[in-house]
Amino acid sequence: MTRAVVGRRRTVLVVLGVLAIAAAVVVGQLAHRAVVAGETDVAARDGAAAAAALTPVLLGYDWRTVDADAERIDSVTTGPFAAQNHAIVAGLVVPAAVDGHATSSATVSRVGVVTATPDHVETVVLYTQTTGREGDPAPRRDARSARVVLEPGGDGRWLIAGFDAL
Amino acid sequence: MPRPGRPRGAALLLTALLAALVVAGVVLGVVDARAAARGADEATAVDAVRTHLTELVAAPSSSTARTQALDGATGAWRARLEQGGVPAASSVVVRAVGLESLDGDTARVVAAARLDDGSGQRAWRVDAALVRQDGRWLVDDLAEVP
Repeated sequence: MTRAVVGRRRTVLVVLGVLAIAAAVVVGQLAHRAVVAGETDVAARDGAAAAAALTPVLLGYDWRTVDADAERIDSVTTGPFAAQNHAIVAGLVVPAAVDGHATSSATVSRVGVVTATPDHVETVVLYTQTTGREGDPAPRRDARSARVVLEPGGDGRWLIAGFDAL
Repeated sequence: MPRPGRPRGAALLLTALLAALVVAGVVLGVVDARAAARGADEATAVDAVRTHLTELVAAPSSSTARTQALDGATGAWRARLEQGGVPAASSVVVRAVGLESLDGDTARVVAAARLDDGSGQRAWRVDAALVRQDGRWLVDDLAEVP
């Protein structure tokens, strides 16, 4: 074998190696994007389902069971919002519920996904809130909407990380 | 002394690897393009509803807005609009719009807005059904969620 042939084969090997490395980089990036897209789809679906299931828990209490209700509310929140909401529930909602013999419940009618990433889903939730207190002639029903943010908690369950009435 | 079998074997191996990577790249490229198209579809459908709600409320006082509202509608909803079926309000603030579902050429979107009728504001909660026609998302039905 001549030196020229050996040199040509080495060149071919180098070119193939460079192309393979470049292709591997592109494939790696595309694979990562495909994984993120799949995770985003799952997050949007699971986040919307969690918004529908957890909004009634977040807004529901009965003065006769308000301490247990407050614990249940804490169990569906996460992140900085959990501490903020706990302070509001413990400092305002529980005393007011006990004093006024008040109840609250919510029924979710529709949920739409505003934005979604694998670990953060923002939804718009349309719900009806029914509230009552001692002395009221009848419970009050209000059609409401809220922006509900969800993030995975420590155990991977989607939990409420933000709630803003609209 | 050079051994001719090794470079040839390495070249074959690299060629096979490159071919596999190209095939994987094509497959993943198609997956990526579909995901990007779906993301764009979702954003466009949501924007179509946001724009339509604004045009709808402006329609009674603006012929341009009325034309645009009709242009963004189709089917039974367009027929209702042509007969003047718009909410009585002077302005609207669309607070949030979210996608409920998207399947091929149909989508369902919900929106939370506030209508100002001059004497005060009220919540306006909307459920919109959309269809894709000629590459555009058009409102096919729109109803207030009670």
